[in-house]
Amino acid sequence: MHSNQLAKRLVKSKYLLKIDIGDNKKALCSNITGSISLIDPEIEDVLESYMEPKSPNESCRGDPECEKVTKELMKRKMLIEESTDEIGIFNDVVEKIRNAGMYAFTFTVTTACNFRCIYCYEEKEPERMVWKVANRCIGFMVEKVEETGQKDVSITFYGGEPLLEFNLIKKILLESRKRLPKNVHISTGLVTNGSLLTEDFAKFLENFDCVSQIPLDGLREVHDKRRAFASGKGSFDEVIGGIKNAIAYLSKVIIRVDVDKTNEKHIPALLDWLKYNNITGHKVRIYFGPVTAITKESEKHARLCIPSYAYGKKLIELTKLAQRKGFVSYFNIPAFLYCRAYRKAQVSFNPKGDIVPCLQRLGKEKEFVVGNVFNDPVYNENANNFFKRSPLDFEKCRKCKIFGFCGGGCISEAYHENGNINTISCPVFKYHFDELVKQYILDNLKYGLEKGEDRKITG
Amino acid sequence: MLPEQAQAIRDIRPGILPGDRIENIAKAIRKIILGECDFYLP
Repeated sequence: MHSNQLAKRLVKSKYLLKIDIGDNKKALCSNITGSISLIDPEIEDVLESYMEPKSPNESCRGDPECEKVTKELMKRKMLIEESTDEIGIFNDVVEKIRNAGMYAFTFTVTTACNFRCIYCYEEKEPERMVWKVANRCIGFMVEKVEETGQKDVSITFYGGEPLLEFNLIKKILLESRKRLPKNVHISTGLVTNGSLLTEDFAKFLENFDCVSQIPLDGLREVHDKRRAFASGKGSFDEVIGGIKNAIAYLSKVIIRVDVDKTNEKHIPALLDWLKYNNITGHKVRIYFGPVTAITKESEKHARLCIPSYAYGKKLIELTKLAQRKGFVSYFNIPAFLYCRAYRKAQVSFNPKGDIVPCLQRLGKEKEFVVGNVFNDPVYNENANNFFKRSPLDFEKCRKCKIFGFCGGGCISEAYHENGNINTISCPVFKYHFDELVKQYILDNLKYGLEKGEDRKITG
Repeated sequence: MLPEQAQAIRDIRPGILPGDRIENIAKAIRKIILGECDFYLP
């Protein structure tokens, strides 16, 4: 360290959480930078020596190793100069995240569905996207990709059941390939119930680096009661067929088990069955999502949902179980912004060409519509509620020790609870945060996720 | 003096700093906000 650095008074960040994860290791989680790091006791000693403002000269007394550690901790904003405005740093980072390029697009090609799931959160007035709208959305996408100069773009198809509109999906992808700059790689996402994912459809999507998410709620008897066709017939066989086609042709398949009080105890049997039937391996990831009842349409299911304050433990338990049985299973701990909805560059179109950041609210409530591709300007005044939202706008968040990680929670849930979009709702991560971080670290080490090896292990 | 092995701070995920390059921010957004998946629904 230079002599002027050695003389500056440093202090431990006020917003750094330290979590004991056992085996003589601690995790450091920074609310300011969103980092999660693993440290040994010797590093902790150096960090703790700066509980009160002190210069490295005073703290290290010429020990070069201590100085080295001090420098590393400073680099990560875990140690800061006494006068540093930490909240200012947080705000700057949040602003960067909102505006950093790399646009991704979601097309809700239809809100119609061939299923009648008991906990569905979408309204039941089907609407499909017509070509005139899709074409305009493609134009908007091309404009944004050219503006940023990005070399990759992700296009996700959502519904309803998007595969009811497979011809439109095909047309959107072929047209996008034609109009996007030649050097732009297109990857795709498909959020489907799986029942219509035929071999032909899967073969087509194979050309577009497709990751699919397909829900499977249990073995036949359990799944069919929850996720039946509109006719009332069970969908288990068709969904398994879709999953097999996804494994054969797509880059990756996320089997999403929607968990509530009625199917949680049946999950071990489902995992055994999947394993016995070879629905496993490097392309398959099992994810356990909580069933939530946060729209009018799904309210009647509320008493069967596992509440947020209890779901964290369930998530850890199920993730570990799946791993023990040989599946790839992990979850994310976000930071800064609770989800994609708060980022302008994650653009979602509904069938009308409205821009609707939250995929749980596709435009029925006007507060959730932030623009329309046919308007000039495209975005309206609602956009600020999403793209300027910060957890620090809310007093409860300002007092919360994990404000930087939960980002104020889910806007859709807050709207459901309080009838107002500019409010908060504490999410799963608020509860059992320490245990969730511990599991997150173990998963990252197990799968090499910290080295960015996600696609390698699961696709 | 600290033992050599103990010097490492293992970044399970690096954070984002205001001065980071845009490519690094984009990469971190994928991991931190999107959970490596563009349609990730918590």
